[in-house]
Amino acid sequence: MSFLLPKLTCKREVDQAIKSVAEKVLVLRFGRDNDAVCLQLDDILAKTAHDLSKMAVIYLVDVNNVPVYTQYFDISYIPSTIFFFNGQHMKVDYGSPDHTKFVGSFKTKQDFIDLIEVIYRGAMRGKLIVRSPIDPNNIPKYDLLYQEI
Amino acid sequence: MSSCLIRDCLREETDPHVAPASFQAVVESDKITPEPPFLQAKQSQLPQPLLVRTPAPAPAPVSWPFSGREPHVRDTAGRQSHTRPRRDSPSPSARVEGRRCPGRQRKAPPEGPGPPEGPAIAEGPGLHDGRVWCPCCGRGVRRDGRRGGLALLQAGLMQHLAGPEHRRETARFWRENRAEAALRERCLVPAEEYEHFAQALERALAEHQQREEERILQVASVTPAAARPALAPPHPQASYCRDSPCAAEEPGPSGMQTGPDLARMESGKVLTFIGHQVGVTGAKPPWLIEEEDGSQQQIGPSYEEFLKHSEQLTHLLLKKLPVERVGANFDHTCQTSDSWLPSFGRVWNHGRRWQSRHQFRTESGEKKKKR
Repeated sequence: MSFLLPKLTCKREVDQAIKSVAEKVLVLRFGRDNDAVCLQLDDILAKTAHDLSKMAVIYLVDVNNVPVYTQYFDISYIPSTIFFFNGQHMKVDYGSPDHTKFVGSFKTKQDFIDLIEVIYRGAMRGKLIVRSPIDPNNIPKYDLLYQEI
Repeated sequence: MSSCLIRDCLREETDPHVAPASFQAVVESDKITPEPPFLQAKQSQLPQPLLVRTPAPAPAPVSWPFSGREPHVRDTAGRQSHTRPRRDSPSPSARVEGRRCPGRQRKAPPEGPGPPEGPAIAEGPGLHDGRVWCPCCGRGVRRDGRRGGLALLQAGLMQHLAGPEHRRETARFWRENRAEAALRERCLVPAEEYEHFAQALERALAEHQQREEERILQVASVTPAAARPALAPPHPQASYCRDSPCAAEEPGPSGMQTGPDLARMESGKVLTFIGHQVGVTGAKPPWLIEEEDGSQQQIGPSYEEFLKHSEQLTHLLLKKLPVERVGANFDHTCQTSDSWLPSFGRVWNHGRRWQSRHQFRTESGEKKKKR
């Protein structure tokens, strides 16, 4: 389903997307097109993209193309989904160790829709971190690798 | 009170049968013409009696100048202007003025398009359904009588007023409201007067029938009998062909003339004839002919206008958003360098969020230096 969603191929385009999307949640999926879990996530994103079109804009980014961001965003597992609003990064507490991004795929489309709505409402109220409405059982579990500084 | 008005009404009355208690139609005294019932001889109004063919828009018939039924109860000095005594109708030379009483409109329940004020009464769909409220009986009474497709104006009301039920109800009404008994008779129509009315009705019906037949015959003689079945397309050439074989028997007006006449006859109204248009020639349709269009005008807004308009809309939208939202003062159009990094609270961060960039650059700088 990666051909149904727009892609960003270089850092400049990613910068452009972050700067230009206004008053909507910017969803950046970092992963690879042929990865199994990425395909699953892409499917959910593609199906909900139209319904969320007034609240969110969704882009796909291949991690091989933007190494700077892969490092900057500390992307260790793919797929990782990062949310922005008006150029500001939005943190979400999923009940997982990493609040800066969503790692893995969503179980249902409704989970993703609910998450987007919560982020949108929080952003409208001026909150930089919100609590995820998704059931913790549905959130993929992973171990956070300690990165040596 | 109404005595002077009654006198006005009675001034031109020639029939001695008129009951003394006559009902007056309108407060504004109408002209009373001594004509046979239901017929108007005036040329200004179309000469049609109360019998009208519905739903054809026939000319104005006579309507009984009946007022709304207002029993003379609670007569006080102040209210006298409101009371309208009923005019006695069925005499042959009764008034035929077709002016409607405004009080009647107040009393009558809403009928479709009611007849308008004024001497000429329009007909139409409201005719058969018109009802008048009779306060004595406490019910609505159909105002017009029915005979086939014709409406006999006011006949239904007359019949009701002459009937026994109404007589009984009127007595009861008078008793209950303790009205003046003398006035009660004015609300009733005596039987013999109704007889007169009914006879006059039959006569008028017969006359109407006769007139209709004459009219049909007249119309039939004008047009050739063969052309009459094919009335829908009054094509001149076709009627010409039909004319020639039967020219011997018919007095043969040309086919061209029959076209407008037929249209006139069949529709009943007068259609304005604007001339025969030439048929399909296969020429270009007018909207494709644009050679003579000199000025090259673009319809719709220009591109700049469109941009301005869309900017206006977004500006309005932005005003509606909450002011405390995240990144409200974010400058979306600023030009950034290649090494720009967004404000991202990193995972392993020491310090505030906005320092994460600095930390990242330091880290990457160290890595580069190490290599």
